[in-house]
Amino acid sequence: MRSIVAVLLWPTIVLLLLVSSSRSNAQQPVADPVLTRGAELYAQSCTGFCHAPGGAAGGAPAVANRGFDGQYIERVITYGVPGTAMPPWGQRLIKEELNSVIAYVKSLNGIVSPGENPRALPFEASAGRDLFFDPTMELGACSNCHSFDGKGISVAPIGHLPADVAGLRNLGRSGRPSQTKTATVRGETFPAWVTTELKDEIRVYDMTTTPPPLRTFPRSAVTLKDGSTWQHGSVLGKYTDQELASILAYLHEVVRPQ
Amino acid sequence: MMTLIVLTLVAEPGSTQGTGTGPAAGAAAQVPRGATAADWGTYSGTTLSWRYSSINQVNTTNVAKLAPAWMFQSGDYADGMQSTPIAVDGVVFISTARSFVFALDGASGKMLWEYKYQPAPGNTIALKTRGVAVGDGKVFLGTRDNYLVALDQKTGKEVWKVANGDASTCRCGINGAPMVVKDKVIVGAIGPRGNITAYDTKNGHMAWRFYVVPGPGEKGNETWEGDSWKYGAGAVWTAGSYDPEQDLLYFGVGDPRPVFYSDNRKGRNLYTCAILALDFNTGKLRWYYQEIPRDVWDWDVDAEFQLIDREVRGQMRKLLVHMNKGGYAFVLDRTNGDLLGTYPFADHINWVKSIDAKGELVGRLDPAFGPPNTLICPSNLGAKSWNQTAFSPRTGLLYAPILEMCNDIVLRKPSGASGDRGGGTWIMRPPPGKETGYSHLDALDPVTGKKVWTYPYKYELLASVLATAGDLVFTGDDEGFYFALDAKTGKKLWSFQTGASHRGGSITYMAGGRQYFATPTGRAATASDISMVLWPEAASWRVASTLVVFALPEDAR
Repeated sequence: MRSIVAVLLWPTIVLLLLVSSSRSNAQQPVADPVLTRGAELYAQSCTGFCHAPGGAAGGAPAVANRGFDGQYIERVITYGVPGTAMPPWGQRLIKEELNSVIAYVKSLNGIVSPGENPRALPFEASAGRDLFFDPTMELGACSNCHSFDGKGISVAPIGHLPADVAGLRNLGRSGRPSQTKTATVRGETFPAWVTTELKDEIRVYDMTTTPPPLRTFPRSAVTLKDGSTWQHGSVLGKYTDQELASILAYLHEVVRPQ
Repeated sequence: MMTLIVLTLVAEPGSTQGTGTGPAAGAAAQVPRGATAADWGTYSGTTLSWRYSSINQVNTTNVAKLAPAWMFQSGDYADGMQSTPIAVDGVVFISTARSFVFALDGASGKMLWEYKYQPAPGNTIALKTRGVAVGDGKVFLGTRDNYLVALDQKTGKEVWKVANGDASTCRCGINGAPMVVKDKVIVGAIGPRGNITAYDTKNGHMAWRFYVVPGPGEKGNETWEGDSWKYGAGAVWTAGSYDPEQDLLYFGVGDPRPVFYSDNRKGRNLYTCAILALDFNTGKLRWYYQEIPRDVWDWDVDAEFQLIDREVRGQMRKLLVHMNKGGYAFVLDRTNGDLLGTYPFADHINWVKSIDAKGELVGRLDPAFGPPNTLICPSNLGAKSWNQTAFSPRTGLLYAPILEMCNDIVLRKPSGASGDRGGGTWIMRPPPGKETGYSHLDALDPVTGKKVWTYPYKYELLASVLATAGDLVFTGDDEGFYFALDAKTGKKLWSFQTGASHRGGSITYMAGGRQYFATPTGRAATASDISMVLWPEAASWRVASTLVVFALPEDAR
């Protein structure tokens, strides 16, 4: 009995040491079975003609280190990108497999499951992160519309950072034009953020109120115009300028330019 | 429409009226405001919360013939089936623990559509939703990860959904059934500060929100020591009531946090453990009544408010009757929140010696650090838990499921870790002098508490009660029996073993000219751990998530 234990013990210890040492380098924890399966599926289904191993660019764009947020990754993998060669994998993979590929690509963008240790940040960025996700800010917190590291709600991804706090308050009014649209449907008109546009269905966030409801319509019922009356500055009211500066410091740590 | 259906009922050939148990055949039957007719349109029957049906096709003369008509196995049994179904136009809507929603044909049980809610990855899987609301062509569902979802009533497809708040940071959620009133759908939520929010049923735009803990500068904020208000909680975790005459919504607020331990939140802690009357249009507070200032026993006020009109001391009054978890009932004037009286309704109460005419708690027994731990009666489940009473306008009686258990409170100081504000836990104990706990379904006068009859039970009665114009009172028990008592005498007239403990709310409705009774079955698997302390045999009670539906056999009506 003892000799069997000894035979099994040493390889187990070696394996554990290997696993723990690789943890310190890789973005993803190697021992996680979901991510392992996701990496396998990625290698067999996503690489070759399109993406490259490890999330690098191949025939298709890179998917690693892009600063994508979780909901964007889920949407693109599940629904594909109409008009491109990116198919809707939600129709080709069973749910467990789909979720594992999503988890793997998320991990390539630094999105870890909640509960794991959040990444270490410099002091001001850490304060900014606390403010970003502060539950006592209630509906005024950034996390009601943006998510990082698996926390928050992803209404809209953050791809481009304004230079300063004034730029944050004036987002959409100066510099880069607003990415929101004006939707008209059955006599109703409202500022909208489009999340999913399929052949026969469209889902948009209605930005009239905070929190913004996600509304589903037949595609043909909705007409969209570029731009809208909605202003990002109108939802920042609960934060002081100093707090927004800390939040920008946090965002500089987590957002990669697209 | 409602009156027409009742007339049809009354005139139906062969329907048994019994002796004086229903309106005279052919008479224009008056459906009392708080009664349901063919439909069961909202969580508590109507927004007056009576859980009372005017249908009398099944009554004391024929209920013994009630038999299973169909069953629906939802498959989602991890947390039982704790909801109350809704029935509209012969279609039954039921939600399950994981926030799945099913639309079923009320006569055959055939599934018309299903909706399987998918929480955002990483968020808590939604558990323990207590029901849906139906209105404006939609079915509304509140999820434990704090989403309000509107589904198309005919197809079950998502029309809109809105995050009531970010669950991943605030650990907020919606436990109770939403309410549809006029053009709004209203939900209570838990969170660092509990709140009540109204949304436009058409498009999900927020109409208003009321935080149950006032913020800085707001009246009542001074009743919290320091910044303890920020995490004061006051969860709103059940459906409310609504009086169309007053245009007032009535919601109950849960306990202040940290639970049991109050050294860092001295003060009355408004508006926790209070009844709130909110203006329907604006969500502004019209009046409040705080039953338990600086609660240290977890006496949430979230249970239902019975809205009945009754003569009190020679004057007709519009009342609100609430049975508090701590074993006292509060009788208020629902137009202005005046306290008209209180009465104890449980056998074992020790956390207070009495409550005086002004509502002041006399002789508080606050839990203290042990050893020994403080024994508090009733237990944390409450002398009455969140399962709801029923009121019958025919007998004028309130039918209440009352629990007799106690517990040791184990207090915990803050440990020093960030975010730990202290709290405590509890260990179930039998009442002093008793071998174990027990319960009883009582018929009592809602204003005086005078007991007319009592139905004793050896385990717990944790399902809501249903009363009907057939002079019947229905509920389910821990062993799995769904049974009917005579509303006037308490005599058991019928029962059926459904196979699993009851923790939801049964309803009755019409479909195809027949009266059906639908009861959810299945209690949370973990809840039996609580019961096992008092009754080891609770370990053998089955888990389930099944809707069991009964009717009179076709030839027996």
